[in-house]
Amino acid sequence: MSTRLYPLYRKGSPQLRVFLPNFWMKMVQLEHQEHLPNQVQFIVSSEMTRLDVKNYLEQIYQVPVMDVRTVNLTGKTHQHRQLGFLHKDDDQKVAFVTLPKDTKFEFPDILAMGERDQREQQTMDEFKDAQKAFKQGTESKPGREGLPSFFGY
Amino acid sequence: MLRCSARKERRKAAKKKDRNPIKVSDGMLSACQALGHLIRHVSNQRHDSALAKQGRYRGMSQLKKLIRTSYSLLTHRASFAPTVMTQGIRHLGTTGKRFDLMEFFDDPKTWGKPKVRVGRAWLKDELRLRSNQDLHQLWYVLLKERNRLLTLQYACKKEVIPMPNEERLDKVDISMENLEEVVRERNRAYWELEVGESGEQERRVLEDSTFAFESEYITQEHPVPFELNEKHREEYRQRFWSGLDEDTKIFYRRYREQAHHDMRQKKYKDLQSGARVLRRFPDVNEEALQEKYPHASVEEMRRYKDALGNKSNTDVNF
Repeated sequence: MSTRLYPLYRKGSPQLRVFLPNFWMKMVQLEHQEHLPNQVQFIVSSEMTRLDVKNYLEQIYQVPVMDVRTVNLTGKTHQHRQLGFLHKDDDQKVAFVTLPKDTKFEFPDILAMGERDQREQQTMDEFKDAQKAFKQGTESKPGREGLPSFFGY
Repeated sequence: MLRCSARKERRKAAKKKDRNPIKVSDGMLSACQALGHLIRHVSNQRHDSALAKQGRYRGMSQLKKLIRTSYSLLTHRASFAPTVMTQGIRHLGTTGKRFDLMEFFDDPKTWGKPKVRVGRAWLKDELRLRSNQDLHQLWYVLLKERNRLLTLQYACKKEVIPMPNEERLDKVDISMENLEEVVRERNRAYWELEVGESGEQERRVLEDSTFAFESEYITQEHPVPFELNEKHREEYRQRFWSGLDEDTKIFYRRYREQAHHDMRQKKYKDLQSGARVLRRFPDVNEEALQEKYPHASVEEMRRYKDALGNKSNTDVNF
C-alpha cells in the first residue's frame, strides 16, 4: 500500500504492515454515457495494483468493493506551434471500481456549476442593461451618440 | 451503606479512567502484537549475531533489513511519547466519522465558493510533542485531505476554473513531510540506542556504466546472497562495472573536455581579479584573498602580469 521498501518476506516471519501509506486517489466523474449507478472512477498513483485500490478503499474509507479494474493511460504529447518543442502530459492509472449491487453513487456538483452559470448570466444581463442605459442617455445629443462624458458635455 | 458503596465504585472508576486516558483500539492492539513479534525477532537475531563471525549467516545484515519497517515504532508509544508531556496537550480533534465515498469531496458548505480559508501547515516542533498514536491518526487525516483536494483540483482543471485556495495542497504536503521526518527521527534514535546503527536504508554512490556519471544505488534485499546470485551479479556488473563502449567513450571525453575548459576559465578569472587586487593593495591578507579566489594560488597571482602595475618590466626577472 505504499512505495516504501519493505524487508523480504520469508515463511514464518511476521506479516508486513503499512503504517504510513503514501498512495493517493482522486475521484473522477465517469465519462461513459452508459454506466451503472454503482460504478465509480478514480485516478490513482501509478504504483497501485487492483488489490491495493481495494484495500485502500475498504480499510481507510470503509467502503465495500466488489470489483476493481485498472488501466494505464499514456499522456498525450503536444508540439508547440511556433517554437516546436514537445510537451508530454503525465501518464496516469485509472481504476474503475464496482460497488455492491444495491448501492448508488452520483458524482456531486462540487463546483456548483449551476449557480456559477446563473451568476454569469446575471452579470451579463446587468452589463447589457447598463450599455442600453448609456446609449439612451447619449441619444439626445445629436452627433455624439455613444461618446463617453470625458469628451466634453 | 448502599449509597456509600456506589460512591466508592464511582471514584474507583474515575481513577481508572485517569490512569488510561487514551483508548487503545483493536487495530492498535494487533499492531502492538506485531511489534512484539518484531522485537522478539530482533532479540533473537542479536543473539545469533555471534554466529555471524563463524560465517554461518549474517546476523547483522538481517538486522539491517528489519530496520526498513521503520514505522513499527509508531505503536511503541511507551518508549517515545512521554505521557507526562502529552497530559497537558489537547488530543487531536478528528471530526465526526463518516466512512463514505463522500469523504472524497470537500465540505458541501464550501462548494462553489471562490475562497476557502484554512490554517497553516503542521510544524516539526508541534509534531514532536505528539505521541506516536496521534501522529498515526494525523497521517490518515492528512491523507484523506490530500485526496479531497486532488479531486477538487482535477474537477477544476477539467472545467477550466481556478481552484479555490490551491495552496492548501502544499500545506498538506509540507505537514506530511514534517510528520514523516519526525517519525524517522524517533526511529533513528531508537535504533542508535538499541543496535548502534541508524535505521536508514543503505545507499551507495557508484559510477554508472551508461554515461560514466555517479549515480545513487539503493541497496535491496535478495533471497540469495550476492556471491551466489549469479543473475543479480551480472545485472549489477552490466550496470556499474561493464566497460564503456565506443560512443560512450567519445561522449565522456567531450564531456570531460568541457568540464576542463570551464575549470580553466574559472582559474583564469580568479587569477586576473586576484592579481588586480594585489596591484592595488600589495599588503593584502593572503588568506582572505585565497578564500575569495580559490581557483588560483596567491603565488601565481603575484607572478601574473596584472599584479605588476606600472613598474617597468625591466625590474622583474622572469
